[in-house]
Amino acid sequence: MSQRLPKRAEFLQALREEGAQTLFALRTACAVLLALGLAFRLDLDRPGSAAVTVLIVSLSQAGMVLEKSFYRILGTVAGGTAAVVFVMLFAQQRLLFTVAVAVWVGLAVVGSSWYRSFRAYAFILAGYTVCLVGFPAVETPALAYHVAIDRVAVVSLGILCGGLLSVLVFPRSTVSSLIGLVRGQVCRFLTLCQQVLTTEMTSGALREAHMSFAGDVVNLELLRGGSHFEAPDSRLRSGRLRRLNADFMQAVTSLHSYHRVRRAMPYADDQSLLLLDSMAAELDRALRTVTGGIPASAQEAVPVASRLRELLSNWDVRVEATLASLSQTLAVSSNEALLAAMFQLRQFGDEVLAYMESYAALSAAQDAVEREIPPTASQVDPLLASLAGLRAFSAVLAVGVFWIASDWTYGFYAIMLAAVGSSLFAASPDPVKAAVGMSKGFALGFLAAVAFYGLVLPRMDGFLLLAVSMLPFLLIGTRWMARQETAGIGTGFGLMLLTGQNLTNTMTFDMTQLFNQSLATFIGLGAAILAYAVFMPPQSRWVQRRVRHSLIREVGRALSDEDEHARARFESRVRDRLAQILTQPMQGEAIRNRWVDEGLTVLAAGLALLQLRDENDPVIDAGFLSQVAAAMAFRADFAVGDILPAVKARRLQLAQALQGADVSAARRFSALLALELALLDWDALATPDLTLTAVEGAIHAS
Amino acid sequence: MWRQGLRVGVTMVTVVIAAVLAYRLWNHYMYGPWTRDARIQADVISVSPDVSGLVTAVDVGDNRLVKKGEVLFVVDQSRYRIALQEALASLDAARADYTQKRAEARRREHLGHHVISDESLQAAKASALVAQQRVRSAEAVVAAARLNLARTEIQAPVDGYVTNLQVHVGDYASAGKAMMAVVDRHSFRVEGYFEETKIQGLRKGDRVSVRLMSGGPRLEGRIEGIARAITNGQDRGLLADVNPSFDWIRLAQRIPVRIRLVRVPAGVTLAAGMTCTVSVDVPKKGVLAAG
Amino acid sequence: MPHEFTFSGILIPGLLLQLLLVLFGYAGVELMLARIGVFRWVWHPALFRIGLIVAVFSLVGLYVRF
Repeated sequence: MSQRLPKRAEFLQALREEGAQTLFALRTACAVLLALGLAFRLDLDRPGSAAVTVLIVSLSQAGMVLEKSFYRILGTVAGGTAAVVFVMLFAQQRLLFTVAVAVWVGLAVVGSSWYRSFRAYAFILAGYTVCLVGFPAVETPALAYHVAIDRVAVVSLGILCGGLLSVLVFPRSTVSSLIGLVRGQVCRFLTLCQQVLTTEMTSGALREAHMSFAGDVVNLELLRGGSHFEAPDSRLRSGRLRRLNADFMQAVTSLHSYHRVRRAMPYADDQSLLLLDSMAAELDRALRTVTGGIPASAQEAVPVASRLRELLSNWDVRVEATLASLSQTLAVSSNEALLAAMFQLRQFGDEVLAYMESYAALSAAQDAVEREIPPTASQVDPLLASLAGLRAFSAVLAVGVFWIASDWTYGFYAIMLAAVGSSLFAASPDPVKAAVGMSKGFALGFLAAVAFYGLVLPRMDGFLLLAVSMLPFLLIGTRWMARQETAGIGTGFGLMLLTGQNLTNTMTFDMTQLFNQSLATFIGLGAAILAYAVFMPPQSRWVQRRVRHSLIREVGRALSDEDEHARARFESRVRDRLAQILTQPMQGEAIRNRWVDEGLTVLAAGLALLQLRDENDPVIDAGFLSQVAAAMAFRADFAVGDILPAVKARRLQLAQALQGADVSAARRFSALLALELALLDWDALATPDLTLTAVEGAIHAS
Repeated sequence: MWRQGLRVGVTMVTVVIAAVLAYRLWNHYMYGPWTRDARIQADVISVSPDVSGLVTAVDVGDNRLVKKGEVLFVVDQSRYRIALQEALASLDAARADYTQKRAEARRREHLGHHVISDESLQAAKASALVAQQRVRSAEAVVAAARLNLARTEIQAPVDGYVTNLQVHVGDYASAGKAMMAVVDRHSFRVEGYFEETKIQGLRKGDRVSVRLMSGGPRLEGRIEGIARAITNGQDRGLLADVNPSFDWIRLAQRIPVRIRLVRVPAGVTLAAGMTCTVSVDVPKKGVLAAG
Repeated sequence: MPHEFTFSGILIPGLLLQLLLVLFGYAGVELMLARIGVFRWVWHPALFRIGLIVAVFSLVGLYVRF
């Protein structure tokens, strides 16, 4: 009996998931039909576009739908305006017009690469709306304004229908997902803390945890943005959530730093190890509720935070006392190591306290006056962004030239699809895979569209019959859309099905149009895919090297950042870049692990460097620190470096001065040791044959 | 429990209120007797000369207000004066001839039967009669010449505004060819194109208020009549052309309704073709009961 | 009575303008409501919000004259 239980729970979970997905499929299909009906009723020129809009903005969470909708309408208005201007300027010259559109699309793609959130979507829309409005109008320039207005109206109608239904009909709230995410994050983080603080933990397991956290940080930002649109009152929590995210990143990094130092001293004598572990265990206990569990809500975190604060308030005094009593009995080297580990622990304690306080603060109704955290800016390589733009530009231009040369009436449709494709895929981490998925959907959708258009539609009379007959076809697409893995296919299917019908209120049947349009779709998409496969694919060696360099350069950038938020900014920048890298397709687990290790090492080194900078030690001056950063950047390519001995020399020099219980000197020493360990790791990463165990021993051997 | 009930209650009450109000707004817009598709219209009389000739004078400017009978432009009169003189000369000649013929006839009458034959007498009388009729004919020619001369001055047919003035001194005006238009200032009215769903709410004589697209004060009017036919779109001559084309959703067509303007506030400039919004004033309930 | 506005030669139906006004006005009202804590007394916030917006918009559309 007891063995069947988990199975049953699993089954129920699967059933619930299935139900949610079916609900999404039904809701989206209904919203599509509602938009279609209203567009007919309002006598808009392209009712199909309203339906397509619903399909495109349909996401599982209500807030996301609203956010995407908002940026869609923004982009549509911008694109429509640009289209009218272009038609005004270049209508007589097809080539000039095409070049102008291609440049515009290219610029839009650059813009969309700049923001990887939904904001990017506004740029994508601005890009291809120009094609959507401009090319049909180029034959009859007087109509440009009308076409633009119609497009804006149709998109507004679509997002209105999609938004309303997703908010009202069994909504999946972004706010509750956000709450779930934050609670889950706290839970997983505190579990990790327990493992690190009280048990031995391999760096592999830690890496796994980090990888899941990297996604969390990005997701939290995403959900935070979406929740503003769903529930404007969530803005009252916005500042605290941002702070929570920043504090979380810092706490994770310093936990990792502690782990590094702790791992580097397995040979220290038992007494000091025992002492360290008992203090770590004490910290861990303070992180729990009275019953020993993990705080399940912000409310429960309030007492935890206050107990933690109390523990840390006399931490330094205790450390000093312990050191004073121990300095006689301990060997010098283990004394130093213990000291370093204790300060790392202290650092972690401070940061986890800040994190718990931020978490506890969420239980209040609205933001108090508090320290402001700078918004997490997305980190973008301008060169890579312009490359994406160039790619889109050339795809659009190539199809445009084909259009002019062949004088094919539906050529502009192909240009449109090239623009849509190259901008949509630019925003996805694996463009080629996304494009292929979408093409599959298009191909299946084409078959469905032919069947529906040829066999079903002519027999239907009146909107009700149209809706009823279309529903099953739509459901196929929306059901696919409901699943993350098949979302691309579903979207492609739905798009092709809806655009293929060429629905207008007074129906005209023309099968050749369907075939022409579909052919144009495939030509346009093909051009976009080709541009991605040929033109510096994101997985190319050169691109990867650039990404790595930009990751390392963050260390130097943080050092020159004199602001009080330098640490937070550094963390968010590095993590953003890391998340970007991790969403890209990679060959094999080993490469992925290597990336994560590199990211974590950069974080640790940056943290240590920033601490040292703030200490203002006469020996470890700014010049030396930037020298270290430069050496790291250099070592992205070459493992040999002469900075490590210099760091070590300074550490030994500091150790000399360490006799007696000088807390600030101990802090510096601890940071310097962390830096040295990070640099050793860095060296090991750059020379793959040097194994980690060798590094672990190295510190003690010195 | 009661708390949850209250929460649901608050939400549902809001939704119900919203639904009622939205329903009213929908009715107001979909069935309320108003339309934003209305045009100012007026009688436009195209003025063309009755006689041909070079234009010698244009007495009005474009867009000027003219009174009925005011001279608009003048066609070269000399030709018509000459024609009149010629006609007058012919008349004089005919008169002289008639006087002579008449005297001759009278004389012969007095001569008696034995002096002159009956035949001769009859001939004299007949030629006198012919001469008399020639005089009348010549008089008609004179009248025609006078009329032509008078018609060289083209006059305004109604009180109104000169528009589309296309005549200049030196132009050749051909009889019957329109040279300018005069908009009858008393004929301004509104043609409102109401959706067919709204037609049943309209009655002849209903008061309406009209707002011009340009804004400004309202105009008042009354419904004068509702058009009783619009084209089907499928009528080709006498035989219907019924192709299997259909709409997914039927949209309302529009039917013209003629509105007489009762009051136009001072300072409002009307031009035929202006767009305006027309709405029928819903009579107050008390007024309805009284009426 | 509905009325159009001209904006640099473009006709804007009065209702659209009213809708925009209501939406902008609502943004302020929303923050106020959230601060007061009205949403604690609401079962389905999204439904409530939309109801509120529709109600205010309908009122404005029916009774506000420019």
